[in-house]
Amino acid sequence: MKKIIGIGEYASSKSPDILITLGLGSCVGVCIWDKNKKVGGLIHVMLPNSPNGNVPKPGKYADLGIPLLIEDLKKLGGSNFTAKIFGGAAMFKGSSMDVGKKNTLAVKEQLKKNNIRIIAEDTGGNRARSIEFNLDTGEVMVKKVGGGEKVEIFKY
Amino acid sequence: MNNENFEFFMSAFKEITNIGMGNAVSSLSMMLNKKVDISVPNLDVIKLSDIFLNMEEPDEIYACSYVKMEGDLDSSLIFLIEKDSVKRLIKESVGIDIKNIVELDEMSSSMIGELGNIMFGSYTSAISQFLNINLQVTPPQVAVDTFASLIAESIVMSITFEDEVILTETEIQVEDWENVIKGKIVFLMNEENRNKLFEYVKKVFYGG
Repeated sequence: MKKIIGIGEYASSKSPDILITLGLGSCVGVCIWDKNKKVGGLIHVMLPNSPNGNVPKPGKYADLGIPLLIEDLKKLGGSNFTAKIFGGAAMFKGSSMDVGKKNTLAVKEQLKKNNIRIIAEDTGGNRARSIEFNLDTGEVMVKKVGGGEKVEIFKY
Repeated sequence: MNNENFEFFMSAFKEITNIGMGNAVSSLSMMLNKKVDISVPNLDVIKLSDIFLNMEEPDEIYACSYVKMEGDLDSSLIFLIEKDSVKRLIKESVGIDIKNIVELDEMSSSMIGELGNIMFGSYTSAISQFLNINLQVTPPQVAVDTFASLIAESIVMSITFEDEVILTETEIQVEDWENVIKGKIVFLMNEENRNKLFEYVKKVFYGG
């Protein structure tokens, strides 16, 4: 089954499901996978750090969302995780705040804190990415606009 | 906002959008020296998490001119134009041929920005006059990428804490042109500003 993850959302599941998210610009998509159990999760992180107080949608933030996703993955029986991360671009010309870079750094920090190794990464640049995370193979298909007015597909 | 209020708000908002769009379109019409028609705006309040559902062609390449409306109301206005349509618009209005839209030079990029700037400048001034409030637009920001990613990134740039946005969509038809200009005008507004707008609208319709 294919499942689409919206902005600031996360989901976890088992093989043979495919988790998809679209439109990762400055946002970062984090794919976490346990290759033995074939369980995995995807989060579409919007911002690096959560504000103080009550947060209605923790999935938006790297600091809250990633630990919650890991918790869910453990409930599904996962224990030995690796990660692949995508996004963190600067799409708009002349945009002063580099949210993409900050998001990427925050995601890496959270993964490090949880002892999860990053085994593949495509971050930065000025192109948005869409990703499809296959929970059976752990493979991630990344789609982004190439130099010739069309969308190209890369495998990670 | 209760249901009754919400319905009143949506119909009033539609009316305001019509007024604003009418002005925006006449600016475009002057630029092209052709009659321009737009479809009646389609309004939707959608949840952030549902944003990618029901998108017809998320991977199609679009150019986007993004401005922020500031003052008595904060919102974002986005003019999204499909890649072949944007080439035609620029060719017809200033005579420049764009070969490859994903590798934009400075000149074409500022042309795309200007399309949004001119339309939204008149859009905003129409709304501010009608509601008698103070509104300005920021200089346009430009990006070329897939439809889904432009919508997503615009939302991320506009609202970082709200879970619902208003989307307005219209189609643009230029006289004598065979194909419809595939464009969407998106209006993003969070709940706080929606409530503000609701109050301004009530003042205009009921005098306070």
